[in-house]
Amino acid sequence: MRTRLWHRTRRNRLAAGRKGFSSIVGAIFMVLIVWILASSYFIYTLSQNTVYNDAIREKNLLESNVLSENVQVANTTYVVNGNDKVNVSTSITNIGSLSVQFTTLWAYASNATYTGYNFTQLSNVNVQGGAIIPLSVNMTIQGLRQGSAYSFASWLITGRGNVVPVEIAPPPEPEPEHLPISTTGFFSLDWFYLKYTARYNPTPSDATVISKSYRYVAFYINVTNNGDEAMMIKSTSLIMLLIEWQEPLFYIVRGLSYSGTPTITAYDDGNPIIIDSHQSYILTFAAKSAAVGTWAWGGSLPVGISSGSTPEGGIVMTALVYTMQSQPTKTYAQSLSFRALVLGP
Amino acid sequence: MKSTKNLRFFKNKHAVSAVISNIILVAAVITIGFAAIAWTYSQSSAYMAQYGESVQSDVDKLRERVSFEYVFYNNTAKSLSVYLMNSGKVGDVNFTTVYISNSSWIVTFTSVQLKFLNGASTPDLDMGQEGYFALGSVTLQSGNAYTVKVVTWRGSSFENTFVA
Repeated sequence: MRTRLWHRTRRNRLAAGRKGFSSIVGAIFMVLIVWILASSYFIYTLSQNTVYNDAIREKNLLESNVLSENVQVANTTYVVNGNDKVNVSTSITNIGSLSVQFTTLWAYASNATYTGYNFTQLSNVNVQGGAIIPLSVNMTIQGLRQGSAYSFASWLITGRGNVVPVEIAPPPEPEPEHLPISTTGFFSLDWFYLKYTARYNPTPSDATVISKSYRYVAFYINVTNNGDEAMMIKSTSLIMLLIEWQEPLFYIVRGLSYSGTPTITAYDDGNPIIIDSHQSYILTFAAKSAAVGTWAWGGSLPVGISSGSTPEGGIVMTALVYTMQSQPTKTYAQSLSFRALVLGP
Repeated sequence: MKSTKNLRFFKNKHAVSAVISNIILVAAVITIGFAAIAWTYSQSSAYMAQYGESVQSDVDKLRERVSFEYVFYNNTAKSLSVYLMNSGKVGDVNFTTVYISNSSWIVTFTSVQLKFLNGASTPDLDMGQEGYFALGSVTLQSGNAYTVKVVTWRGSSFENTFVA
């Protein structure tokens, strides 16, 4: 009885509440509108952002390609082969990896009384990466007169918009590849710093010609430590003169004195010369053997060198023996070459 | 008994009007709802079209690139010839304003007649095309450096320094 009464009341309320039903329909529409608005706005904005980002990426790629163009145009000749006519011959080297298309060649000619310019549009001038191609173009520049002297300048325009100057000189030689310092040795030599002293010439002088009449001769070189740590020079370091049939040796010494009878302070491995990183040092070579105070070229010429008046050319070689401060037990050696010298009468 | 029931149904005018008004109310809500959706859709479409145009305009501006090939000043004729190339990725590049300046002086040109390199007039340059414009009555000091700046109708500007 109660259940039937409840159903009847509910049916009556629903019939009477028609505004409530239309509110539900209205709410559904409102949700629909909001959902359509939000989703379409979101998706469209996203797609436009994608378009914009793609454009930025494309622009960056374009700029990158423009900057990557690397072309040398050199070995250029200009020949005025008729009135108003000039032939421009050049060589194009594409050093870069991108292929480069040239669209236009511009040329400018001038002398004291004349200035003129013109361009020629090029077709099919496409240079692959690493390729070298010759280019010869006949151009018209109004006012040029055959037989007159002109100063020319020209430049090429690439399809990407770069301007490439056309050089007259040949392209510069590529830089030689340097071997790593650990391969070549840590020391470099001041090439023109082979000097010597002698009893009658105790001030270091350039060792180009050394008279055989000199006595108590010592050699000097200036070396630079290019390594990143200090190096200790060993007493077995020497200079050798390569003269016909003879190779007199001059070992490193610690010091010299030319007062009275010249003397040598022998080199002591217990108190070595230490050359700091990126520092230069003048080393002296004069001893007959390692770590001794005996002159190699003292009161007489080194053994085997004749005292005659015939000049003798000598090749100078240095063996520099050293240890690194961080590895004192491991010995390295480096050969350094000089200019040659002459032992004169 | 049955005839009494039928008689009562036909006499109940109140119930019939409730159903009709309910249908009318729901129909009105649906109609207004669809109208609102249509209006919203048209508004959002217009907005999206406007936004799309704006984005496309920005994208085209990004793709614009102009390279200067040569700037020649004729000291006798007092004219300046500026040779350019559209090296960008969008066509229809023309120039609305050109500025010639140095550190203490500037002159503006708003009417620029663009031509192809063969001398034929053109309203704009497409991708890869080369052209030039000539400016008359320009007095520059020979040997001095000047800057030429061009502004496209999309609003991009490109400049180049030259020696007169």
